[in-house]
Amino acid sequence: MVSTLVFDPSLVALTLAVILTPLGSALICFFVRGNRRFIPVLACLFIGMAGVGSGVLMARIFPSVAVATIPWFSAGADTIQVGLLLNPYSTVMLSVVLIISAFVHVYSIGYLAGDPHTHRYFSWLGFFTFAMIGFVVSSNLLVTFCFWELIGLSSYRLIGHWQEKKVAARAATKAFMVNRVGDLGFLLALMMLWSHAGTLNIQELSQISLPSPVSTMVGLCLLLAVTGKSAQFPFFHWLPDAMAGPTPVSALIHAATMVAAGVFLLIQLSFLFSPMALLVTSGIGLLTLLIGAWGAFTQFDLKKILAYSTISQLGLMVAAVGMGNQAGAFFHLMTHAFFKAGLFLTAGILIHQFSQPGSEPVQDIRHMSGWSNSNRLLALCLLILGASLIGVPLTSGFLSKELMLSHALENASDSLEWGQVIILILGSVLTTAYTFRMLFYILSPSPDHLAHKAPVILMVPVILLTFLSLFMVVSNSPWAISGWAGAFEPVTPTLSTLFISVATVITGIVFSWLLYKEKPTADFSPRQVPQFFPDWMQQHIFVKFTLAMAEGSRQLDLKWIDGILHTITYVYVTFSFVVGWFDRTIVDGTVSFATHIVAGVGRLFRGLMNGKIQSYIAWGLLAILSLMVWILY
Amino acid sequence: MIPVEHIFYVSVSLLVTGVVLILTKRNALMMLMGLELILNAANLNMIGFNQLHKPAWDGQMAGLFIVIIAVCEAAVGIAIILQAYRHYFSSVPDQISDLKDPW
Amino acid sequence: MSAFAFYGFAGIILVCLFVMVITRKVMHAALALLGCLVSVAGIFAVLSAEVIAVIQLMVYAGGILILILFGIMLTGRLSNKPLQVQSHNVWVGVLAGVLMLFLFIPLADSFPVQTRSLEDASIQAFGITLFSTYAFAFELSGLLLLVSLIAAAVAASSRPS
Repeated sequence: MVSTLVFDPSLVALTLAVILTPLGSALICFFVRGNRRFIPVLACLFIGMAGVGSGVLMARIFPSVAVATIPWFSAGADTIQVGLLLNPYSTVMLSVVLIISAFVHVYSIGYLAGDPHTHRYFSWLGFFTFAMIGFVVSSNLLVTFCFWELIGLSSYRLIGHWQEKKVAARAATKAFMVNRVGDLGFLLALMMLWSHAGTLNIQELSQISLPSPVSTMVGLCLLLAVTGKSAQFPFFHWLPDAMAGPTPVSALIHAATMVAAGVFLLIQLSFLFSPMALLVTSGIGLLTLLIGAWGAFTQFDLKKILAYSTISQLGLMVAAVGMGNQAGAFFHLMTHAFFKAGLFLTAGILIHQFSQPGSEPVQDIRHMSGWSNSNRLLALCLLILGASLIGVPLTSGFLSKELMLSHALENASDSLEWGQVIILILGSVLTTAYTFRMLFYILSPSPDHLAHKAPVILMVPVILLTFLSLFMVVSNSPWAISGWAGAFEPVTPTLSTLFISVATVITGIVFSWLLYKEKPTADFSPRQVPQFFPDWMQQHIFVKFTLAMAEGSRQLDLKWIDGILHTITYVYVTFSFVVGWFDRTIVDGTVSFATHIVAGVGRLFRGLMNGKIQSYIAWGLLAILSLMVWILY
Repeated sequence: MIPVEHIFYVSVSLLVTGVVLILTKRNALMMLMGLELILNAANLNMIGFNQLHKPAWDGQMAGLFIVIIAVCEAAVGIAIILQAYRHYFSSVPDQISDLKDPW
Repeated sequence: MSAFAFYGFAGIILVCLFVMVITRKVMHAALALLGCLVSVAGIFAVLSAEVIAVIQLMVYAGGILILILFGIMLTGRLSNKPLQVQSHNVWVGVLAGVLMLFLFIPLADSFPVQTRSLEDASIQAFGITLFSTYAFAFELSGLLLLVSLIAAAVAASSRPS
């Protein structure tokens, strides 16, 4: 299937151009002063060019693998090689990212019109695109990690674009922090790979087979990284909060690309995982699938429903990789990117329609109905996008769900794997149910009519994404993969899978209709929302633990270290006092004592010379008598 | 005849008394008197021990010269005392202490 | 007979010495000194040194003592202030005296015992010996007397200075 294409310099140049164009856009947007009105358009142009370039690359390279590396630095005897790796996954992903980024750029021109900091926004959008692309095509895991971090940084800046909103700033920090926890896993995996395999090059690693305990550990650590970045259990609580950022950002980052980065990594590196690690992966993914679906049922905020839906779909992708279905997971990644981005952009248009300027944006689905008559095109797009999410036939989402289901059914041999299939089906039913609930609330007619149409510039990306959610883009046939995507060698679905998927759709719709036909509007308490539990854990366990450690070490410093210092100081002062006393009393005393002796002797002899004759005579007599005594006796 | 020891005892008492006078009396003339007593003691010694060596005249000659010397010294001494008295208006030796160490 | 005279004179000497030490008046001390000098001259005579005895009387008692009396007269106040002996001087003097007694009296044990009888000692022989054996000393003593005479005259003169 895949052959290695020699990377000729023109292609290398083209790839580099494609990568660096968004960076250029970012830099220009950031540093240009003066007239800034043309910046959004300029950014769109840049991304558009990059998108065209990626299309050319795809045409030239797909489905072969092209690799080009140059040495970066050496540490001792080892050299780190950086370069480009364009295998089928990364080539397609490149285009996907750029298409969605381009649409989001165009959309943002309309959505953020009037925002005073558009230059900052577009610069970070461009930077994010650059980071994502770099991540996708990097051939060395170390460079991949660098781009992984840059993605996290850009997402932090983009979520917190509206800095004045405290909620947004906190959400951005939370996202970054939780991602960092996952990054620990990535670093550990890198260390283990380096020490056991001696290389971080993806191509070379695929040739090496690691011993089982090592590959389990590597797999688990990479899984940790993926859970942080792609909002799996238990690190998903940042994603619903990240909806505080602008809607196009949510579309780009939290639907299509950034959260998909974790899944993409998983797909690229799944050859490193041992069966045990894969089992854990699929377990986490299935759990996340169910938790996300649960969350989507409890939300009335449109963006939060979509956020939980993303969590759930990412869980589905991760579970697919855990079951060994890289092609299926990648397909779902691609189709999900398109239809979820479309859903987010539609949601953005609706929010834009319903919100009054200057007040809080209206995002509650209980209040967002009654517009479908005046915006029929938009309603149609919304319906198609939702259908793609549900997996209605004739959409691309149907195809990708089919792939995953058929793979799971084919490989189901023991009870564990049958259990996985059951959960998959259950997840599909729930997906259908909550999507139907959302559409039902929004699209139903209502006495309040919203008359005005959506702006064209916002509609165009939506329409295009809707188009991309139909089956035509992915395959020539609505029932099975054929055409260009056949290069991935996906599993051909059987009739039974078709039957099962249609049945899940119908079941879900009926189930949801029965539950929500009266449109209950009661709010859910915080404990009923799945986000509550990781938040609680984070706050009460990690934050409190860290603060306790800080307080403890401060006390230690104050009592012990300062105590020791003070004791030493006291000892020194006392010692110097003693020495001073010694010097004063004894040393000086000795000297003055000696002088006193001398003075005394001097005084004594001075007393001899008192000018009195008789005392002179007396002393003289004493001397003479002594002499006489000495002579005579 | 007269044992020499007795003469010796007399001269010793003269000597001791003379010394005591010199050391203790507060008048310069008393000091001079003491001095005369000492000279007399020496003289008496000379003459007294001469009787052990008859017929030599050494002792008596010595005695003569002692007297002569005593005379000279007494004359000069009196002259000094008178001059000092004229200067200091006192004949108390303790009060003539200009040579006292200024410290 | 001569022993009796000697012991008599010795007794007078001791008494006079005692008076000299005890008295507070200078005149009394001078008179006591006179007594001592005369007694010493007497002892000289007993010891058959008549020449010295006479010289002693003439020079000492008749010269020096008169000189001392003149000195007393010239330096004494009219009120004849009594002497006051200072305390520290007393025991210095006593100490010195006692020391000297202890020093000298044991010496008497080592004196030769023999005593000779007195022979004729005429003044003629004395004179001959003086001008023959001791002529040089005689001349020198004459010089000494001259010098001291001049010195005393000079020292006692009242110069306008």
